[in-house]
Amino acid sequence: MSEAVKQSGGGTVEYIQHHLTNLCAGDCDPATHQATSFWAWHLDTLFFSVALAVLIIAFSIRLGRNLSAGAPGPLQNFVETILEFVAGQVKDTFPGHNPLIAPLALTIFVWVWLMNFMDLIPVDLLPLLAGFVGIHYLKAVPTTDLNTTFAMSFTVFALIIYYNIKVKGPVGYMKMFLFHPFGKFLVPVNVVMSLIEEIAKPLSLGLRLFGNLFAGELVFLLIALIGGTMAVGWAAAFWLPLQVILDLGWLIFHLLVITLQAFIFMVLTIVYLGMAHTSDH
Amino acid sequence: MAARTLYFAVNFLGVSGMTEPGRVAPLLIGAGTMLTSMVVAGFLLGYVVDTWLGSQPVFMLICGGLGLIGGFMKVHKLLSRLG
Repeated sequence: MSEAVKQSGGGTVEYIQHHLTNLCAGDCDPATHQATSFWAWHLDTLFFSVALAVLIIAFSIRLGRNLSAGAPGPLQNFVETILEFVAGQVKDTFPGHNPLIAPLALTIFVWVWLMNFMDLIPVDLLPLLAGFVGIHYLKAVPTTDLNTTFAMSFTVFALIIYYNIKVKGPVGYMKMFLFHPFGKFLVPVNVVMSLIEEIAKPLSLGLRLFGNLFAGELVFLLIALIGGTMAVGWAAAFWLPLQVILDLGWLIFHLLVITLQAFIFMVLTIVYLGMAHTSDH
Repeated sequence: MAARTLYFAVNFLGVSGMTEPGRVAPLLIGAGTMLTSMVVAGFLLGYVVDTWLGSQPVFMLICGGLGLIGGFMKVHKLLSRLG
């Protein structure tokens, strides 16, 4: 491999690694900027997730003050459509009644969608702007950080355990571990199987969202590299339009992906909490 | 206009809770996810136990198998709600 090719490959790898590195504070490696212990903070993830949550709250407060029962405006219509959609999902999927589930599902859907939506902002834009104010690492999509997706999935998991104990009682929950699904003669197998089932819940919630969004971000980065590495001289006349077409295509497709992932996270939360509310587990 | 378009899109896709596919979709998503994630969780649990006891790959295979069986049972249970 020639030196030029090596350098080109090195630059490409560096570009991708740089874009996939969080702005780390606390116990972080000064060379790699990766967390070295539990007490490391991904400031960019925290900032964008909290900022989007504040945006939802501010928007809701503003909308709540301007609600109209007689002649709702277009914004109210839009929000009511989303609300009805989520309420319909809860009604169809969730057995029994719990006033917490629908607001929780709505919050998850909107928040996850907004965090996913950060993926559609051009990959170099926010890091470039941050670079002007002296921030050299910025990963703008909170859901491409495993900490975010697992924080949300563990929160849902805590709720699942809480409702399991509340609905079935502590003894009932322990009985589920010991005697479900093969009865009293296969207690060790039952314990392992119930444990697997419980581990599967946060795992499926957290890993799928992270995987999809991380892969999506990576594809955006690879497409951005087409213009960055190959468009030299006259070759730009071919590679730049290709980059634009590919980027647009992936963006349109990704719009579907981010909505679907937010929808699936919401649906799984409802299904898992529904399972916790049924006593015939 | 945007709200009306979204409303029609949601109804057309059948995920609004008003149509049969809308009622079924969440349970199908839940069932598919449970099946795959229980197998993965089984292998993961087995891997942890094997690493702890130094018995690779005994528990990984046992727990993976149990995860697969448990996943199928869970799918059956979830889908039996559909009648």
